[in-house]
Amino acid sequence: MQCSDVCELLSPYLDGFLKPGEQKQIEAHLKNCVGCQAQLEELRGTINLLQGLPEVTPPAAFRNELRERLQQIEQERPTGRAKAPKRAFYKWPAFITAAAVLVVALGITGVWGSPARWFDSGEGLIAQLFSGNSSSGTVAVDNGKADRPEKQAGGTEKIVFAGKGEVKEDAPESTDFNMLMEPDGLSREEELRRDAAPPGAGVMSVPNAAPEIAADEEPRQMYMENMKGRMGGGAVAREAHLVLAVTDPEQAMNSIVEKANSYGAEVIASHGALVAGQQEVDTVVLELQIPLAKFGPLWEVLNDSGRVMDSNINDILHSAADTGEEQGSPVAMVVIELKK
Amino acid sequence: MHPPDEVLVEKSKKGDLDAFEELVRRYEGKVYNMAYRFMGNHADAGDLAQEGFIRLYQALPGFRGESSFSTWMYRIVSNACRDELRRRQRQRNVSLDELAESAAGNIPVYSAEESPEDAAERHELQQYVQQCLTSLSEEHRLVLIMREMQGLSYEEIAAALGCSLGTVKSRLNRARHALKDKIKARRELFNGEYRLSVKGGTSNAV
Repeated sequence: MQCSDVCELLSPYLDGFLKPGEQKQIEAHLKNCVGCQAQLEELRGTINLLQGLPEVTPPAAFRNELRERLQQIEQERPTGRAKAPKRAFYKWPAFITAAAVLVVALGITGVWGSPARWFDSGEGLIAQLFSGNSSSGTVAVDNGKADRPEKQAGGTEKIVFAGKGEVKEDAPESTDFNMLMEPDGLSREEELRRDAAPPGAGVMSVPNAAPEIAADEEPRQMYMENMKGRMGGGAVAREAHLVLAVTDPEQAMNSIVEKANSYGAEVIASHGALVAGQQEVDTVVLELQIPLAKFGPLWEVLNDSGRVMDSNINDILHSAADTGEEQGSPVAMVVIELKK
Repeated sequence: MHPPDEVLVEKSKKGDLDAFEELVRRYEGKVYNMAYRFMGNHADAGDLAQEGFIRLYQALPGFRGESSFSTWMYRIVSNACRDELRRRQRQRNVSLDELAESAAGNIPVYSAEESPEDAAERHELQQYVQQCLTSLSEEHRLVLIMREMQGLSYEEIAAALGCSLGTVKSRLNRARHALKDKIKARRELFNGEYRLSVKGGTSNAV
């Protein structure tokens, strides 16, 4: 064993973290090598110095201060924690599912990932369900400006896929959600729900097809502008949700996308919602995939992009095996709601 | 009287701040010491430890008991440490060395067996070690704090940092060597003779 090899193993040697064979080899080498002995002693000394640093105690007011901040957080929470689902920020799963349905109805599958954690396992839900489908292309309507749908009469939630290109030609200007039923009468949501979810998909329950608009809420139209899905990247190590009040959601979205791109983030999907009877967009939902290393700085930029109404960061603990550094760099998934 | 962490976690998830405060009481020492050793001074440590606990609280709904609470806590707090450092570096563009220089030390504690001179020397040495620690990269700092000061096992560190055992082993090795080199290099700057091999050792220098 060379001195350089021994040097690499001195640290685990001190911790007794070597295989018995290695341990013996190191001991044998140390007997005859003054240089490595000195290295070992210096390492040991360094560790002793660190371990000799005294414990410090938090300031007396630490807990009270923390308590006050937490109380404030609880008060500002819009719906109250007790009511909030575990993944409070998926307030729009019906919409996501609807978007998925629409895309499926258009006969497109394949390359995408999908929102958030469905695809932790790398096996897309949509891709899995429709893996038999041969697909010609991608639906990603990259940042295409959506044509605004006409107002629909009645209170039904409408999904409009109004991107550029062939999709728009195929799809009526407004596609009635209810038309997207399978011949057997099962909506795709029901199919999605019925079929076993892939490993890792359990986190997000696929909701009922019923539009989750409350009776007293203004009917809305929604459209999907862009839905690219996860393209590579490592495990999702963090999820965050941000609700911002902005003057112009669309403008804010464009500005955020630009900033996010400069941090190496990718837009996974963006959605908009129109207030019935108006052409103006009142909410835009943007989903970003951010390299975890860039999350901190970008999160601040995002928080500065409007008045923060709600925010939530959730670290996801993976087993050591699936987040090893050997694999793709971990990413953060961020959902941003921009409200007028 | 002393409910296990899991019970307190479940209560905290429902917004029971008293239950969470009990968790804080149990872990504030660990979190604060980690923050202090990571940042090198009390003012920053206080902010960072608060931030760490707030993140813990907010992330609780996502904690599904796949690890012990403390392992999960280390993970969240490590992330808070990393983010804090990045935020600072972006905001003020302060170099690591400047951060290290700004490190305020502990107030020397005198014990009966120690003369004031010895205590002062020991204090100086500890400040010096802290400065060296604070000048390391964030990952090296984290792994050293977890191992040497918080006494975590390799397995616990791997779970907290979300990496493999092999990574912990090699990173800890590099971190220890890096710290050793810093201490040796700075020792020459100080023109002193800090002894590496004595625990909490006093020195003849300065």
